[in-house]
Amino acid sequence: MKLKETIINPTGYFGEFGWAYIPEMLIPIMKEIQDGFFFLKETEKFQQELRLLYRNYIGRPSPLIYCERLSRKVWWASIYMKNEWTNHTGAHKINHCVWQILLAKYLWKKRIIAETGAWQHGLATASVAAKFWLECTIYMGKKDYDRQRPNVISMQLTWATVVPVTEWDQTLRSAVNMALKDLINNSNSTYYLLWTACGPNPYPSMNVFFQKIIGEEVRNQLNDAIWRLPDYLIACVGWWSNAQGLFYDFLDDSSVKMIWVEAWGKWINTWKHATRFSEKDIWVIEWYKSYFLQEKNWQIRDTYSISAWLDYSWVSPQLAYLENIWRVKMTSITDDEAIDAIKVLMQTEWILPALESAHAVAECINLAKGKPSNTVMVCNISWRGEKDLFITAPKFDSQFWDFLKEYILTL
Amino acid sequence: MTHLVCGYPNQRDSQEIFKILQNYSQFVEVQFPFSDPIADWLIITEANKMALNYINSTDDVFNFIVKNRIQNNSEILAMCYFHTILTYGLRAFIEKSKNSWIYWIIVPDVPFDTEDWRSLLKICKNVGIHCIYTVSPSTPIERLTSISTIATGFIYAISQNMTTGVQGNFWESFRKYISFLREKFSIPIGVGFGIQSEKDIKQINSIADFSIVGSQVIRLYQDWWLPKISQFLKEL
Repeated sequence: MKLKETIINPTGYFGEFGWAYIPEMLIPIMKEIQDGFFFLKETEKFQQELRLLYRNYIGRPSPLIYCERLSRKVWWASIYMKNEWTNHTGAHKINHCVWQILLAKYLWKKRIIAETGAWQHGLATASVAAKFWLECTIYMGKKDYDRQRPNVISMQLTWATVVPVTEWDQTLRSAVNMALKDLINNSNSTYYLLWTACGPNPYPSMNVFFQKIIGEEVRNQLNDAIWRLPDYLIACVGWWSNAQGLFYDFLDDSSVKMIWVEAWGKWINTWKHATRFSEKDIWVIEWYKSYFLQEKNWQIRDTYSISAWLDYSWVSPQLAYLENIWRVKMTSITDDEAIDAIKVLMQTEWILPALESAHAVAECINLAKGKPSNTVMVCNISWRGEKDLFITAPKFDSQFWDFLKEYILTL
Repeated sequence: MTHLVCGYPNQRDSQEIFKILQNYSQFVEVQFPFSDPIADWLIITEANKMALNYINSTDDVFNFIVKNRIQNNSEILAMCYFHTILTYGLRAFIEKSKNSWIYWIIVPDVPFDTEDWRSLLKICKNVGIHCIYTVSPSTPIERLTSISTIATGFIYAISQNMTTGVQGNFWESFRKYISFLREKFSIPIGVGFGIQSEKDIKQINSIADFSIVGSQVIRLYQDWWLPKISQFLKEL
């Protein structure tokens, strides 16, 4: 069977990974969503509506930039950047939000719930919910809520309700738990707009399908520019919603090598990381079977990374599957390397990637060294870097905090 | 039937609660604490988290049960998420349960039509443990029918489409739902989720076979404290 067909399939199994480990109450809900999805997927009228939205609302196709100066600097491979951050709301997240909101409307849902760690998904959800006149509640861990206050405000400016979750560890994980419980309690009226390719069947398949537009565009754009396929595709992996988008279309082209970058966190303290593939424990947690990082007593381990979206202790089932059959290669990048990559990219091309994407850029720079110039590498810049300004600015400018202090005094 | 999160709120009190529960109820459901209990509402989730401070491994739970069991008093039922079983090993877990006087097991996050469930069920049958199935008002009829052909012991009917521990109301539609289940199943029906007061239990016991009290026990403990639990259960 072709890989593409395996990655989007109605059974929900990807090799031994995936499926839906859910309580009995959720089964009818998931069945409803699955039927809706596989029906709409084949409906031409729906596709037309979606194409219009892509063009007139999100602003696709997003540009594929040839980074000439960067390529020269790193000697010599040709590096292309797929600029997903030019999308409306500044990330690739809007791709699946638009899709899912149409699905929710098709299913006659009146209310959208979502959860977010680093706001992009929340903001994208809030903005599509506003556009389509649906009620919207967004769960956020209390820690993230405080950490990302400016972004919370931008979400609240739309008509979404943002709920800080004070239970458990107060990060994305608790937000996810909370949203799921909300879904069970209000299953008739509510659609759960899941943020990436994980969760129970059919969400992983759905999300790949929603994001695959990125890879399709890359194929066309590269074909227009240099009439060939890329040699390397590089993207960062939190779960993999941006990586899947870039890679899906090339899965069956065996000449294309795919490299997925995880966060190694701080180099010195090796327990503080988020590389799920380093230990390869296959377990079932939160609705599906995949690789997890865990503690000695079989509970889920807390992870660490400088970037919020890579900071998670498990991965998408499809990703685990692809890694397991050696279709992709995993590498990891430390916090410092990621910060350096932002600097280099800013100096050469004036592209400001988010910390997550910077992991991919760093790997791209490492890999390009010494490669001949006819090696074509495509790197996905999935997020805009402004969101991380409070984390990155002090690293670039040692006087940043002093400036902030002075600024606060003037208020 | 009553519910206990093993290790909540601490080792000593948990043992006390366990003993009280055994004195007053026909079944005691012991939950293996887990960091991400997806089917439980906040109160039990919080209890799970607290319990994990005292419970370091799955074996701890088994030891706890063996040590504090009152013989021939009530049946003990294990409730655990699939992750716990998987990490312990399917067969090892079931056999260990049997050796710890657990003859009933509930796994809330594995639907019955999966490969994992089939392998679990096969082992359970070999060893001689009942797997308990949960059904909810939104479960489609076809699924109910197929559950009825394989279910043994009793059936765990979820009173409403909610997570555990949310205030429930038991109205006419609920009656219809239970009487519908009666037609489908020949085994006893237990009703759980959202049962908080004596009144609820009386209502439910008039139509179903028994009721399942979970979060309320923890809630009572929070409002201080052990004697209150036994008083509450005595009244029932």
